[in-house]
Amino acid sequence: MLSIEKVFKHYPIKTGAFRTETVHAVDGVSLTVRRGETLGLVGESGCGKSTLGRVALRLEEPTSGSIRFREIELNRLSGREMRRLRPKLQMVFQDPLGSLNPRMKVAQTVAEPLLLHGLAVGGKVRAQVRELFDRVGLSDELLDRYPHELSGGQQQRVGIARALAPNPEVMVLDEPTSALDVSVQAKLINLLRRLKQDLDLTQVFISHDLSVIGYLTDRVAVMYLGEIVELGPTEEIFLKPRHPYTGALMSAVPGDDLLDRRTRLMLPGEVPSPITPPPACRLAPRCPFVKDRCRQEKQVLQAVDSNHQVACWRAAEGEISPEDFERSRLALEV
Amino acid sequence: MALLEVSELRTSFFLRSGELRVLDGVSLEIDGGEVLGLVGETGSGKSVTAYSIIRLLKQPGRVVGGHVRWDGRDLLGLKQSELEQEVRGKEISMIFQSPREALNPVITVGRQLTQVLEIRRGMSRQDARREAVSILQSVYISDPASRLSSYPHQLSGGMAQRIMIALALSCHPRLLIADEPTTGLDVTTQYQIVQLLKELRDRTGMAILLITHDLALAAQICDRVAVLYAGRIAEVGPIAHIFRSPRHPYTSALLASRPRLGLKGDIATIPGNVANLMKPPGGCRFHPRCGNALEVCSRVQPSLESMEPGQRVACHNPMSIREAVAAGG
Repeated sequence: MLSIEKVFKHYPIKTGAFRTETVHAVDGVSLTVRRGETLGLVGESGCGKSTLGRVALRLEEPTSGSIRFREIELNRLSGREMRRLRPKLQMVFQDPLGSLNPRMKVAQTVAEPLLLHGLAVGGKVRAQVRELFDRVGLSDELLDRYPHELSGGQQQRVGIARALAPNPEVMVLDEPTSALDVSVQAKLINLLRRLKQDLDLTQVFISHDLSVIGYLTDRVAVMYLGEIVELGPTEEIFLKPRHPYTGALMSAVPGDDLLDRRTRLMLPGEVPSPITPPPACRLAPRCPFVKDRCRQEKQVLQAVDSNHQVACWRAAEGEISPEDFERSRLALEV
Repeated sequence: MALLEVSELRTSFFLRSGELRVLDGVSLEIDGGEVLGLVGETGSGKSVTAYSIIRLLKQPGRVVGGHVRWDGRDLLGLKQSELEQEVRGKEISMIFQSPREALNPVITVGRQLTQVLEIRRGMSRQDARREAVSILQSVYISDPASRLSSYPHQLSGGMAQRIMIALALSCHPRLLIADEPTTGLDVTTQYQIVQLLKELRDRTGMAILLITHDLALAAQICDRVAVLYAGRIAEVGPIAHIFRSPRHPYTSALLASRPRLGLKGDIATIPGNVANLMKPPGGCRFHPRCGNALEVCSRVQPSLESMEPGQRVACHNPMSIREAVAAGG
């Protein structure tokens, strides 16, 4: 459905009066989003997942590489051609209040894509908006309110309604639940799950919240410093991670018993700056399983299974395994 | 006698549209050296509780009732000068969410630290600088001497929060109030911060009041937990009891609304919306959304009562033990 090929996204940044450096936000990512799937994109701050989400929908131009939607290369399209495709590629943004026009009633916000893309049916716009509101669980009495009059959960539903208005085929959701309380989040997640079933949507779900990802997605791509380090079915990624970084991330996911103060796979230090990412394997400076080869050889995604890839030679060659990650965990308690 | 005793605390915000009864009789206790978690969602009043205790509330918010006793002293009645010189920052310290925003953006980290040390502890610039380095080391900031010349925007969220913790602990307080200290930080960084707090607690014997909406976070560090809903304590007790056998329907529903890998079907959600604090429901504030609601719940506010297996619950019709254990997470 959506094919991302060798995409790079670099941003210039001024680091001194006369110095400009480059932020390597996305550094050579290739990924295919399959029809009807919910693909999770996870990683910590600065890994590039939000940037990748925007570039994938051509909300931003890649520095190099290409995006293909159903075999159509998006980057080659003119502004007009892109606008014609735009209804099919929609985004739900992270900050619900910030992404809604504060001076427009929410019904108008949701109607906008219908009017813009000529999808409004005669005088029936209002009815169409009502139907969208209904679909996302918003009551009619909210139609003529302004964004600031709605709760966070309601605002986010408006954002989703707006994204659904033009009948998209692909929806990218960038941290849609991060600003919400647990119980509000739960309702929104249920909505997203239902929408996926009812509308046969292809979704890319970007989040740092692994519990939500674990519940909602079919496959997961794990990102670190602008690169994908592991890609595979959600259950495998969570229960049998192959890449040390994935192992560390997953060891931090709370289980059913919150009080099971389990061990964690610790990565010392902090994530390096994306301005000067480490050469070769980017996790090498922090990886408990590092070898010399890691610091010399650039790691690329290799298949470890028919549907599972890892960017780690030690994992690919069977030198390290999920069991090793288990064994290397440190006890929490003092 | 507990180190901190809060009884029937009432706080309201006086808006043009009316009085927002944010806290409606909050009582809790913290003993020396223990970690109490105050958990609740947006609008529950958890941050307001902290601000009320330490008297950082700003207009239009005001404490309108109740008592706060710190080490036997009436904290709410204390003179402002005594509060500032003897208690705040010295005996009770606080750290907040978004640490980078709490730091002055145009002054180096080092200068902010030394300023506090010079003023608060009367140190000379040289001594303060040395102490600042030692403080950074105590919270595992690498390369502390050169870190002193960093500006806040050059720090990662985790580093900034560690510095705030260091700052808060520089006067060796007996109680640290941590208001959503890890919200917004990456999950692995969150974990580091929690470990740090635990270690500091073990080393110094200080108590911690941890305010959070994140149940998993509370599980990592708290000894006891108080669950707050719409300005009232719903349930309080040792964390194992609260989390493994929640008796209050709200606690139970909150634990159940977490998404989990392998969960089939919809996540269980709490019907309705958070209570309107301008016109709160009569009786129990949770009753309009409660699956266990009885007629009495809309009329009579339940008070905290001791219940099996060992917590205090404010509910006329709590979950049965069997239900509670099944719901536990």
